[in-house]
Amino acid sequence: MAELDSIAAEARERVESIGAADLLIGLPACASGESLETVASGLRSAFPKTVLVYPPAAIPGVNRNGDESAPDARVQLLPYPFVPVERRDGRVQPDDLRSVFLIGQKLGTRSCAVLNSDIDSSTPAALRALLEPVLNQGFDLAVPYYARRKFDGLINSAAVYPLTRALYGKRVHYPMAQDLACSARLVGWCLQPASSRPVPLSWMTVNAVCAGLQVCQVSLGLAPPPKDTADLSAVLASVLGSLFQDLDRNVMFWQRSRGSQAVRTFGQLEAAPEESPAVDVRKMIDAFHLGCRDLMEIWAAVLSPATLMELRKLAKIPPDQFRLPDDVWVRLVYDFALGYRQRVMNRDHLLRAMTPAYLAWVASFALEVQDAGPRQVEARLERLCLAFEAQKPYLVSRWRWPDRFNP
Amino acid sequence: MWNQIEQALNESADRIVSGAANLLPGFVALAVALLISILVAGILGFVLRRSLRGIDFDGKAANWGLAGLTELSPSKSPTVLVVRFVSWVIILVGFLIGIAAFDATLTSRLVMRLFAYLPNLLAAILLLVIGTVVARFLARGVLIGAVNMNVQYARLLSVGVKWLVLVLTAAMALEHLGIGGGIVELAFGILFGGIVLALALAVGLGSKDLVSRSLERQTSREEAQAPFHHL
Repeated sequence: MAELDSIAAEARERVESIGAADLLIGLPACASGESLETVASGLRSAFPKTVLVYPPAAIPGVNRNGDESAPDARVQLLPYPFVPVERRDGRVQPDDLRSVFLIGQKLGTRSCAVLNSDIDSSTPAALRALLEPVLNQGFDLAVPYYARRKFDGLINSAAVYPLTRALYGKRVHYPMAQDLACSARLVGWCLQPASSRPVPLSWMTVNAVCAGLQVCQVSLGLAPPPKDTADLSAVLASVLGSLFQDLDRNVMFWQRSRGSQAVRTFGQLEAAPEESPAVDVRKMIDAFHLGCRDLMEIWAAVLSPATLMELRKLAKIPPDQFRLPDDVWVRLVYDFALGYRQRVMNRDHLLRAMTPAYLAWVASFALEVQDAGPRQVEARLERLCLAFEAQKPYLVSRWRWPDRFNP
Repeated sequence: MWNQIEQALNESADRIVSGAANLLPGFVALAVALLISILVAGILGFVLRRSLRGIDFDGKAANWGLAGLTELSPSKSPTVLVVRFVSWVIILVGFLIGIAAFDATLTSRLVMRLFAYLPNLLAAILLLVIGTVVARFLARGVLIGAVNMNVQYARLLSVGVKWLVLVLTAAMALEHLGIGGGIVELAFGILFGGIVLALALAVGLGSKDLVSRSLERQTSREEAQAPFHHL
């Protein structure tokens, strides 16, 4: 509880004046008073005493007098200086999450939710659906399960979902969810860990699974429009870096876990409207060829000789037949995770050097599924996930005995 | 007359023989000191090598992020580097002890001058090590960044940056050692300017595509990426 001192003094005073609440919702990406009002009106009739935490800098014109001053109002507002928009990378910011958790713990809430995606697209009904399993069904973490188009969330499809599923054994389809609802139990586990090291909050699904808590997915219809990624290599380094960092911390858990199990999904998943656009992957294949030409020395420090040979072979394949086999991609991801752990070079350099190989996967995937329907795409990604699970012993073996000969 | 010549020759021979006789113990002492120091260096080196290999010093150095040290080391092994450094220091100490057998003042003067020069030498070595590590780090960063921006001459840029830093480091190290004086500064200026000019020409002539691609990205990022979204 002492950590509450770390949040802004003004917010602390406001928390003291509110006293207690049942539900806390953090809206770090809220950009307008109308959005805030939409969320507030959707919650007013559905839930008991709720506190909405919003960034005051983004919404200077909000009339706070009404809800803020009434101590028994069902929805109260709490301005809080979240991480500014220009420093956000489209993912949940651990600092924001920690602040929301600290405030929630101080207020004694039953649940804390964070909506980081564009809340204009989050209807009150969707928010209620996300909170319901945590408040009334005994789940500790609820994350959205959106219907996505086949070329959306590609980092998730290529590495994040298959890797977390293979390692932690739970089929949470979008572990890097921007919106989530957590129980007081999960909040308490994150803020008061058994060890002295604070729990990193980048991957809440991983935290919940490793803590042995109940995780579920809630089908919320179509995904919000994807945010633009200015620098792909920076995004890739940020996402995979935090994921690889967690591998070291959770090694005792994932080395024991076997196979994977589905998690409970609330609601029916609707298919995303899928037009089959003509895809142009030449630039991505060119980027891979350039990487093969210039980054081979760097890759050689990370990848096994067999994987390097496969990449060299792939560079000679004509663009229309360009296919990156699942086994090669899986080994490549595992090798980068091992290289990250062993610090074979500066970690940021290592992760950024993966970009051309990732683009090769995207190009190969795009060529393979460009005319496929949602079910075929799903089946294709399922095959990739199974390849990650099948090759997990390779990762475990090299993690335990990194010096052993590795062809 | 003949007697005087004979006496002069005898005195001269006596002086030579006694001089040689005076020097001989010094030579023997120098040889013995060198032999003992080589023996001690060998034994200590052996023990040190065993100990460092026992604690996997090479692996630990890599884990501490001293990849640059590994590259600089003989046989790519920091253990060998440490062992050789210690061995040569012991042999140098033995040599100084041996020299002291000839003339104690000579050794003390030598040691004084050596110690006066030592800070410059250490600073130069430190500069070289840091410069090499920084050069490698920057070269790798530039290479990866340029490849990710689809720059065709990424390797040229990377090598250029590496040599810029290395030349700068070498000039600074030589200045610390007091070697070369004005020639080093002049040579450094010419080399540094030459590399910058060469890079500027290469980048300037070849960057037309890069600039147009960059502008294209800025103005129509959505269309350039469509239909792919990574997050």
